[in-house]
Amino acid sequence: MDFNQLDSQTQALLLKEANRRGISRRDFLRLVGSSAGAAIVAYLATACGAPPPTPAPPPPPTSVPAPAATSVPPTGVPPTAVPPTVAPTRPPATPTPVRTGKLVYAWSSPFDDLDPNATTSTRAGRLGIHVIEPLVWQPKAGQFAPGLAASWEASPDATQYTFKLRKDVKFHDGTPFDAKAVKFTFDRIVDPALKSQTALSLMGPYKSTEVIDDYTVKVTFKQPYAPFLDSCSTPYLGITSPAAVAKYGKDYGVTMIVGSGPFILKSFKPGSEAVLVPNPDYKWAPDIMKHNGPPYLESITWKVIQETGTRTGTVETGEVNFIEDVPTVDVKRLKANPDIVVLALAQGGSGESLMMNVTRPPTDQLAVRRAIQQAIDKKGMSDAVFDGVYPVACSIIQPSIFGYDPETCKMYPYDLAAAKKSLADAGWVDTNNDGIVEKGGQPLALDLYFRQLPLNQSMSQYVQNQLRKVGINVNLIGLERAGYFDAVRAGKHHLQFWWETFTDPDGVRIMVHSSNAGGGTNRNNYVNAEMDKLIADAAATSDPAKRKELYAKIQKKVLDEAVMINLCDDQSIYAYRKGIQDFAMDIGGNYPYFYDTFIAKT
Amino acid sequence: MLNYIRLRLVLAVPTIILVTILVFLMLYAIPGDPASIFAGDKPVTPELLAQIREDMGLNRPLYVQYSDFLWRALHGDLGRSLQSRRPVMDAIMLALPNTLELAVAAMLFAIALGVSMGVISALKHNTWLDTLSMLTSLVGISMPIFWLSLLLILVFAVNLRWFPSIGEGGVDRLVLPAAALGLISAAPTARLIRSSMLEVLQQEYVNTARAKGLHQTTIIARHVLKNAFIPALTVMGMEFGNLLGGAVITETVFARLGLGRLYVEGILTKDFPMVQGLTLLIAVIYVMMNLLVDVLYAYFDPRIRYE
Repeated sequence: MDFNQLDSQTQALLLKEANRRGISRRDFLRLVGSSAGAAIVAYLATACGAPPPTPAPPPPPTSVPAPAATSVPPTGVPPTAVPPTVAPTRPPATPTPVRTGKLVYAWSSPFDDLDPNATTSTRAGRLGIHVIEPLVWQPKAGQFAPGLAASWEASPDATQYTFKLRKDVKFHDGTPFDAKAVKFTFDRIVDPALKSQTALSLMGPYKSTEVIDDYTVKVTFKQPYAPFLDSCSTPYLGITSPAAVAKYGKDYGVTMIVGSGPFILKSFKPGSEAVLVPNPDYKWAPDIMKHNGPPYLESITWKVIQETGTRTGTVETGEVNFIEDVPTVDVKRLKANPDIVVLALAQGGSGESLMMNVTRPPTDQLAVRRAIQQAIDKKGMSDAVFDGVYPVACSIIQPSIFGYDPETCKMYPYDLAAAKKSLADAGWVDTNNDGIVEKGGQPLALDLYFRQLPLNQSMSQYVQNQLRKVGINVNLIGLERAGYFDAVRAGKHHLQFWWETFTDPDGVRIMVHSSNAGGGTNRNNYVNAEMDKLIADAAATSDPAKRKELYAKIQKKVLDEAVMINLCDDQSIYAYRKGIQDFAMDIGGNYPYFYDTFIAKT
Repeated sequence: MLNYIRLRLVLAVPTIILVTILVFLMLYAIPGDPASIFAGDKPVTPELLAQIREDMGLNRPLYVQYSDFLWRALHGDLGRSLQSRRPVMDAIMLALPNTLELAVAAMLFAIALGVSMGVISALKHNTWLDTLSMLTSLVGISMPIFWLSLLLILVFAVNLRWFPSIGEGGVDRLVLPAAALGLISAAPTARLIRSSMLEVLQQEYVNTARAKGLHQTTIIARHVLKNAFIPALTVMGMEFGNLLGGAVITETVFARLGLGRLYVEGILTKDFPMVQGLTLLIAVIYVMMNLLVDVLYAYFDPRIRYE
């Protein structure tokens, strides 16, 4: 603040003050600074009616951190800057702290394939998105921001998408990012030789990609496909370097992946550890990020720690500073620890749910399924199995996903009497007083198949207990992967658990579309032409209002026909050491993004 | 002696081949389809599943699959994992040093603890020291490794912060897992040493040595221990083999790379190349271990001669 910039009246006042007191030079300047500051504040307070913002230190993330901007215009908007008329009342005594730090992240389960375009593992995606960038980002459900694509246009019938790509992007191996790389990536995903599953299903009814010019591509679909932008925002459709795939051949994804992201993969020991280092050439950060240029972190080390006790232990000792999949039983203890922050986010997808095989008697009868639907106390299950941490589920789509209909919470609530009545009305009576109902001499016995995981054990016991109360006998059959998949694909089950993550409501297709029945992921084996049409129509239009309406119908239909039961809405629970600042999270709560992150000294 | 060793080595080859054939047949017989497991709960069309099965080479007749494996193994190529496409040799080479160092450390721990407990028990037979020592070994055999490992982590890593809890590389990361495994392996060794020492101490030549005027310590060290060791040797050889392939729980709890985890994961996913490759390795190690133990017999007891 310069003395000469003040108005003459203030100058005279200050000089008078200085002369009267015999003030020292330093004190005089200080006086100038503070009075000038006070004068400006007073002026602006009267003029604007509100005090101007002063630069604040980055807030500790106590709530869900999200990418900085809330509006997402396709052209770049500079982050809101401090108005130049405000100056701090005193020059800062210390320089801006150096932003750095070494992040150590603990995965909860191992995986083998690191290639996001081929892998089925969410954990691989968590690492992948730092190395291989997506075309677009989705900061809010249904709203998209530029990533590697600077702008895009969808045809009104959602069969063609034209992307205009950024021109300043380079892959880690030096080769330039261009339209050919996008075409290469998409064509590779649908090639059966890659055995891609997650990425392949996200590509939908893909037909072809056309290279219009070096930085323009047009993607065409056989049928309208509205969820494509959502697919493009996932790690699984990130753009890979064609040169690297050619170079590594069979080993691509096994030992190395190469993209254009802010981090470079330095080493990968499958089942054990991976290390990322910053990309010094990175300067094409999306506008929704807080800064541009190389990331602040010195390195990110990812370790596999399967044992939940060990994993929570490491964040308590500080050996690891960010963990995923905190078991609900540890949440209270970790929250009480002053060095640790617990982050519980609604996880986008199906939540913990129970699928019912509608082709196998007796679950082929609506009455039986309705009884099961109303016999399970979801709140009780949340308290008993999930320590009250997971909220109760209402519908096949979770509340954080676009299209969720809250009306579903009122449909078919927990009601043991109503459940018993459904069974009685259908002719199921307990004739021999053994607690189990029969019909035509056959007791009502159901086979619940589940994989040998601790959560499944508790959930299955809870279900068995609840259904016993209305006279249904449930046989618990827990198997290892090999036996389990054989059995459920062959439809030997009446009941099985299901858990699915997705961020676009088209994900319901996986669970209730006829094309996935009979050995696929629709373990309800539910085949219904009307449902298929609803799903197809909802995926075919880009009009959000129309989509919402259709998904509301789908959710109600699932409940009316008791196709499957959604028990509790999963939460992605993370825990991290205080001091970790500025990480972003996708809308599904599945992919933390550490580009802006640094670790402050606490 | 040398002839004996040569003979044993020659006999080892058909033994190892027989083991790999048996394991291959067993793996084939258990329920499950590797392609189906690979797809898991992900959406996959029946055509894609068939394609995956074809790529995995599962449609070929059994004897072709096995002989192909044997032929390539003789050339040093153990093939690629069905689940991850990683070369099996690479996966094994990455995990082997960790497993070896853990097994050796645990073995040393077990020998030191087991032998000392056994000797003390035998010498202070029927005193409170004996009872205490045998009680400790009983607890050691009965304790689940899972529980013991978590307990060690809780006390020494989380509360006392003396050692890191996870990972491999470096002596300090070896202490806790080796202690967990060693404590449990020490138990049978201690009991065996104790009982065989008691037996040897009854022998007449011990009395003769005492009559000659030899120090108690000299008697123990030079005459008794060597003879008492022999039965324990077999057990320790088997324990070492176990440590190499079976430390899967310790590896999981302490988040260490190791052969045990690879093996179990391979079996659960019916990953034929991985399981075959590991079986080959473990069979070779067991055969060598047994040969070593037999040779050591001859060292410990000169009366044993092999023709």
